[in-house]
Amino acid sequence: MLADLLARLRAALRDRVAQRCGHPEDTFAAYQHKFGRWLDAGPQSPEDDELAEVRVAVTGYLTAAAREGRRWGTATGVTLGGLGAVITFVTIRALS
Amino acid sequence: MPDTDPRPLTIDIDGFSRHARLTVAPPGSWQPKQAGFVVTQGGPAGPAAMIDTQVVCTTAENESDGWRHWHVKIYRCANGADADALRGHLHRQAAALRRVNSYLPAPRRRQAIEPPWAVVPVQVVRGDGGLEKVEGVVETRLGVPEDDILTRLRQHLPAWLGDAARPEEILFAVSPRIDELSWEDTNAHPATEHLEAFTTLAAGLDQLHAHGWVHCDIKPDNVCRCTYGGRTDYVLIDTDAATRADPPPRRVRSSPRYTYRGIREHDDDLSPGLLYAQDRFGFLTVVLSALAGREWVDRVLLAEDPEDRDGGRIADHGDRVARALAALWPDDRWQPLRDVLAEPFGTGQQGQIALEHPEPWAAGWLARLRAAEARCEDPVRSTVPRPAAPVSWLVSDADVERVRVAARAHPAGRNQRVRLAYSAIAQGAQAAATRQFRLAAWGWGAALTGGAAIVALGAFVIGR
Repeated sequence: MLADLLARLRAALRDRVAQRCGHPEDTFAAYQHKFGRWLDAGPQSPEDDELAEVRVAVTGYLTAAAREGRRWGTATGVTLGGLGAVITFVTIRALS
Repeated sequence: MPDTDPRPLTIDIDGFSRHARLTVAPPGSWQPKQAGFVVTQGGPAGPAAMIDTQVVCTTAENESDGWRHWHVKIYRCANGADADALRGHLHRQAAALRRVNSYLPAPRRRQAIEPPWAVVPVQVVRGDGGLEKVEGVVETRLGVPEDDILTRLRQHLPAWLGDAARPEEILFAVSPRIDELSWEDTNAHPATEHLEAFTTLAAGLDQLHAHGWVHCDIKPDNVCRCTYGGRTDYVLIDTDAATRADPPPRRVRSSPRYTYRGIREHDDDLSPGLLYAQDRFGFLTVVLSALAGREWVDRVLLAEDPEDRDGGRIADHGDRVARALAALWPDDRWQPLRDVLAEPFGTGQQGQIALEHPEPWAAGWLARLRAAEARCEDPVRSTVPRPAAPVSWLVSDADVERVRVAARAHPAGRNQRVRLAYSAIAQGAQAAATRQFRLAAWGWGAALTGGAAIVALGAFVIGR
């Protein structure tokens, strides 16, 4: 039941991340040739302003998604953890 | 026409070690375009004949090695003799353009068909199922048994083929489909970052002219982007108008807006020099469209100049081009760039004379343009530090790098790299969200439950 709940939460999170971040094309099409240049450049290539701009944008996109996941995870963890804490506390008190 | 045959129409292309098998999609538009080709028979000096054809464009997907997405042009001629003559013409075009690509420096090229390209390579395929060879390097044929061809053609090709159409009247020209460029309308600052991507095209244009051929229809619509092997090049497409410069054809199939002044004035008396200049003028408009914006070039440089009583354009006069560029980019720092950009539109040594001369021009001019760009120093840019990337402890450098790795993972999909990257970013975002969700959920859950257990046990111990 817990696994089922977590699976549903993860599915809802997927939808939420897609909604929150939007399709990557909407975000990165604006960078045009800069985005292509960044893809062509390897990690060892010297990074100029354009490449740095795209890297920052990609990092920002992924960070927004990660932050959304962390927020949902925190809410879920606090709820389930609180429930677990009550059950644990009551159980130990009852047994003692 | 209803497509009742479940078997697709396929085209086989054999290179040295690769075999591409293209599945042709039915055309989106059923209306053919009329096209006329001036075809010389028996060599360049042979008699010229006009061949009228109907042309429909469609696409194909490669289910085997090499490029995944292809562009297909279907030609229908009036009879088999016309198709044979047109096939010879397209074949000569394809071979000449392939030769141009083969002269471009490419230390990592393993096969003749691989980029870098100045002109996208075209393969000609016979409709009657016969084998077609281009310079003994690439062989093409319809991937169906010969006796099955007519049925397949009727099942999968447009209705305009008609029941009376015969396979020997049909030709296909297939080429790898590369990414379209999205042009800005107007750039308030010159977008000089495009210049590097024109290097291969400029070198290829000089090679094309050195071999006595001209493209004739260079314009922004006919330039696409090819990303392959860690580099991005702008590449010419649509080579239907390509022809030998000497002897010159009777007329040029160029787009009126992008036609060189000399050809507008002497279209009944063409010379090789005018044809070279036509290509170079087209190249200039493409470079300017990238730097200044396509809408600006069309509206300002190529529209009729109201001050010109003869109906000329600003692009027909070097000094007016210089003034237009100065109005667009008034900052003095762009002066070196503006000068080199405006020179070829004039009538001097760097203008009309250079454009109409058979000596190579494009690569040298582009090199001078890049050198001029390097002299356009930005006093602000050098003092302002680059914005630092936001420090994100939620996302690592490896997560970001994974996007580039995923985008380059499919060897045949390099020209679709941007779309692969979009997909990789979406997946990376989901993975990052899920990872953080799991970490936070387990962390908080374990901490609260563990904390309660410790408190309860502590109370139990203290109570005793």
